[in-house]
Amino acid sequence: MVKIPGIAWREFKHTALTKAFIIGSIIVPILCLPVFVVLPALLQTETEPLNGTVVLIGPDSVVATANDWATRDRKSPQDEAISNVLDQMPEGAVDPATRQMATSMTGTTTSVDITFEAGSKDQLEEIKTKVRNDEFLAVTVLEDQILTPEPERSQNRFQVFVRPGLSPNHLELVSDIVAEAVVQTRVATAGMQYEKLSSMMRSPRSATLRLQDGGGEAVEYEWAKRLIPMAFMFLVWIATFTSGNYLLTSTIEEKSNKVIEVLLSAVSPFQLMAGKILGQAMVSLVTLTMYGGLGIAALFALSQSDLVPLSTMLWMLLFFGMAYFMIASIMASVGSAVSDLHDAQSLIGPAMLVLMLPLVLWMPISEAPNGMLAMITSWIPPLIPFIMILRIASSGDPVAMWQILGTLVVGYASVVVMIWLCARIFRVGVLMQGKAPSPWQLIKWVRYK
Amino acid sequence: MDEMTIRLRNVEKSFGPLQAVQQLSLDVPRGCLIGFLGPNGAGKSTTIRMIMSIIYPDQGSIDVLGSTSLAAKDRIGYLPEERGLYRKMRVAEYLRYIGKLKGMQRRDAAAAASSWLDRMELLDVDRKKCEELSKGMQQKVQFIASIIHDPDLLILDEPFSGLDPVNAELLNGVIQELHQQGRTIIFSTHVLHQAEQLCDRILLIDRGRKILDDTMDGIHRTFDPRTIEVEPLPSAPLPDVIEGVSEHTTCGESGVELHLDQNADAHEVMTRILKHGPVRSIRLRRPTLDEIFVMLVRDRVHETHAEFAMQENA
Repeated sequence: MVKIPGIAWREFKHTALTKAFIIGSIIVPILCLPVFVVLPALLQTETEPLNGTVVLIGPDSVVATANDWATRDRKSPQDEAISNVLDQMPEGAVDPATRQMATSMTGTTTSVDITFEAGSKDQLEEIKTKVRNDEFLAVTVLEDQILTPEPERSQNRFQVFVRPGLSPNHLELVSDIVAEAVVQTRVATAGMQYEKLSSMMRSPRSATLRLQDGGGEAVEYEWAKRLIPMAFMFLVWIATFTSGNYLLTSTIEEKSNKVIEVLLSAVSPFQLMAGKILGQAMVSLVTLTMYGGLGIAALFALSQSDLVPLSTMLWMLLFFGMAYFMIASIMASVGSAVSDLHDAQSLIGPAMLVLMLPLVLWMPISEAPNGMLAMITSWIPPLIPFIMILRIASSGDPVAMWQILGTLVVGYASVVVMIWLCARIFRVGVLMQGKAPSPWQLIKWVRYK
Repeated sequence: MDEMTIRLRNVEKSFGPLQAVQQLSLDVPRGCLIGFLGPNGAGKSTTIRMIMSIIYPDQGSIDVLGSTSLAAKDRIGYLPEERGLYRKMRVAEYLRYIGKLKGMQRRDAAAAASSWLDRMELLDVDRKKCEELSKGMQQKVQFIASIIHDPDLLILDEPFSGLDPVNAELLNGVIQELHQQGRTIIFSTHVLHQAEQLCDRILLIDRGRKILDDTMDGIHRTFDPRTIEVEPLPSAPLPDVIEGVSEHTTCGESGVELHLDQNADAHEVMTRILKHGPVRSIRLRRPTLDEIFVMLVRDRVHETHAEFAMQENA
């Protein structure tokens, strides 16, 4: 068994100490780190200001309203609610990073300085030329009957002609102001007060604050709660499959290089397979550490680190080991049985279909981590690690400890069986050349003495 | 101390319906250089792989260097027929790696690699990647990998393939040297005259069965020369009938091959010819290993066909 570390080290060295791996798995995450640290500041950066004149061809009352509305502060009701909550919080209750992050994410900060000018349809072509020449920002043409109290679909629209290069954000702002001005004018024409009506129609919005374990509060981001379980599972999936693929190709390479028989004169097939799997396990851990570390750094930067407690990370490591050894033993045995990657793909195909399931199921399982679907799939061996990571990392009701421990026992027992089966295939496969075996032949190899 | 390096007893190995090795028993004495011969598909590689404990027999026992083949793995050097190198690995690193897998300390492996690279005239290649070497150089690196750990038993499967005559001579010298140092060497090849020159014992198998296992002297005794090559003078042609000769065939422009009767004494026949008249040359021709090989394998084919026909008739 003393030879296994030597094989593992060679496998690690010739995979991880290569330019491609160092760039992809070490340098890229390190370069990404500053981006996450300065992300809040980046998010707060203002967009380009919107300045200029828009010609509006339609009723004068709409032009006047548009000019008035363009100068107002326009925030979405939800953004406004968050701002209000933050303003009402006592000093020190919300940490500065959270406050900065929340502030930066509420609404646009584009400064608007535009004026609307009335125009006529006779001058439309002339105005369009001026828009092309950057004299005007845009020209909008309202339908004649647009102010009708109950307009039909064909009457309730307007055209906007803009110069090339106007940003989508600016175009949206111009369109929003004109649309809002039309509605306000209709309301005024009907003898009602728009401000009052608008206030009455505004439905209340929630702003959620999560009470953190160590005291303090943080703004709850729904997107983060949804994405974190998926990110955890995807990270483990990528780390295991990347190393699994390295294992597959290195085994095929050893077979096609004919170096395998030289190795087998020094070590047993099981020692060779174990060394290769352990070597790639280290490669996988490096990938997991680098990208996982990057994610955790990002959570710290966004003051969301309490979303991933230490216990979750420890469970994730245990399930990562289970996933890795399961995938790696499959990859090693397939690599030993074939002579090229093309043959390998056809053998791995069916297994991949099963292993892709967690990627499809992440949404329903993270929404209901203790639901029926989650409970059933948690006990299917190839899916156990991925589903359990999803469940544990999802917020909501915690997963029962007996289920975590039970799936660990079942999962690792499956790993032992899988390694045994794959080792039986490996010891026969590495000496075989030529046509790829059928699944039935693989079963026969398992039974060879 | 056991005088046998390898001892196989009633070894059998099948792959599905194919019986690769059948009831094979074999003793390889310590310090012997044995030629392991057989036609393609005879079961040589399977037998070697079982000796190396790469695969295991279905039945029978294998003792290598006084223990099981698995326990003796680090004392065996193996140059397989299907051999290769890690293309991206540097030569010295590859040799150190194989040395460590064979149980050597890193420092010893490095020293042995350096010394063998010099001995095999591979200068300044230690930092080169294996893929940068010529085929012949790669072949020599592979040979070094098989002997770097100073094995007691060396198994060489077609060691000369891919080598030019100069390098073949160099390798030949090293193999002879290792043999003189008392190492047991199993040498598998299809180039039978090489085996004839190098080996002091021959093992021939066909269809998984041993059909010849003897020393070179024993083989020469067993396969008694039955042909006399004569070049008569034009003035003294050979008589049409010579006692003890069953058949004449011409050989070259003026030579004649005389094939002896089963019970004829070759020396008596030669004396009779010389008494008849002067000849330009006369010699007793021994059968070459190639001829013995072809004869034995052909006989086996005939025997098998006969057995098959008998079974069919029965």
